[in-house]
Amino acid sequence: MKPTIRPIVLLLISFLLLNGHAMAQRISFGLYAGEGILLEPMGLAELNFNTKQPLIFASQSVSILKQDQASAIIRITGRLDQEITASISASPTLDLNTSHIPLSIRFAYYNAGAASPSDNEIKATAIELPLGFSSFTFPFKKNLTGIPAPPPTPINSNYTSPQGTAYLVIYGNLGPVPSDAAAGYYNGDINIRVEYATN
Amino acid sequence: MRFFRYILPILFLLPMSSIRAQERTVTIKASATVVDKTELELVTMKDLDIDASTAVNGKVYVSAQRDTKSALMIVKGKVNASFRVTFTPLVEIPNSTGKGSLLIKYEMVGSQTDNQSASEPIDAAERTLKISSEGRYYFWLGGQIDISNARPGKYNGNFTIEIEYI
Repeated sequence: MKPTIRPIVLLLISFLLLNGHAMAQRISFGLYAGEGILLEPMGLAELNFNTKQPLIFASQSVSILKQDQASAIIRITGRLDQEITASISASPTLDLNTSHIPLSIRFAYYNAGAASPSDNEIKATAIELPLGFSSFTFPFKKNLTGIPAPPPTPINSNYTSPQGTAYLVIYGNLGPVPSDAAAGYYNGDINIRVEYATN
Repeated sequence: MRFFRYILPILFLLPMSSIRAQERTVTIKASATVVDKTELELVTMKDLDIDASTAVNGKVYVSAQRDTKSALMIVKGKVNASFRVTFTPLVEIPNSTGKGSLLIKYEMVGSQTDNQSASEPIDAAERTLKISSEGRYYFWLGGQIDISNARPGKYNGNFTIEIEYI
């Protein structure tokens, strides 16, 4: 083997060795990445289907609608001049040991720009995403003029970006509960990830 | 120098394993409690008996804890399971055949055993109770009935009580 080839071969072998420790991850190369974004669940941070229907029995389905009191709200605070991408992933079932109930999560976003909107206002105005969408991009504040927004001001020490607030509303369908489902408490996680859009 | 020629590229690779996207994430819980329909049952054993002849200043009082005229309900459910109970404490019942109404301020007591005098008061706010090892819980219902606005006629009303497993 030629001396010049040997380092390349060793490098390739190193790649292969490192591959065993690789993790699936999404890397954002956007200028602002997720810095300064604040995500806060409002209220109990739980989508509790018993809030909609206190007693849930086998063979029943329960739907929490966008405007229901039981739907959950997440507040997003960040740079007003940026667009954000929200991604939501949820377990397809709520689980109790070996029993499972189908779960289908839906969500809507509110970016009307009101200073302190009430829960009812957020839910009434939020724009629903079609079933099946799990990731979407939207501006912090809806542009009502139709004219494209100016480009964001570059980061410098003398400039502080104005902050914007948007909201996500999480809701969905549970069931039908299998006829042989065990009685008890079923649960699962809904993960919400938000970052500045990198378009 | 040959040593560095091999090692340096590897050193450049190592920091990659610590790169993480700078996103913000939050996790909320989705949950539901499923109950077996056959597991929790509320059976009325005896209705509340209101005797107008015992009225004092236009009011009849039936003690939930001491009076035999109180209503009796039994919860049948899963042994030792916890459950939540709420009820509507104040109800106005109109005369179905004319003018007048009854105003009932309910009081309720409960016990794991069929022992009315040893029962404990249950207030209208959400209350957590436990079903006995025999799968029973007993409620007695009484209250103060204001008949000062009542007129001769027929009065039919409901007492609303909700029970659910926790």
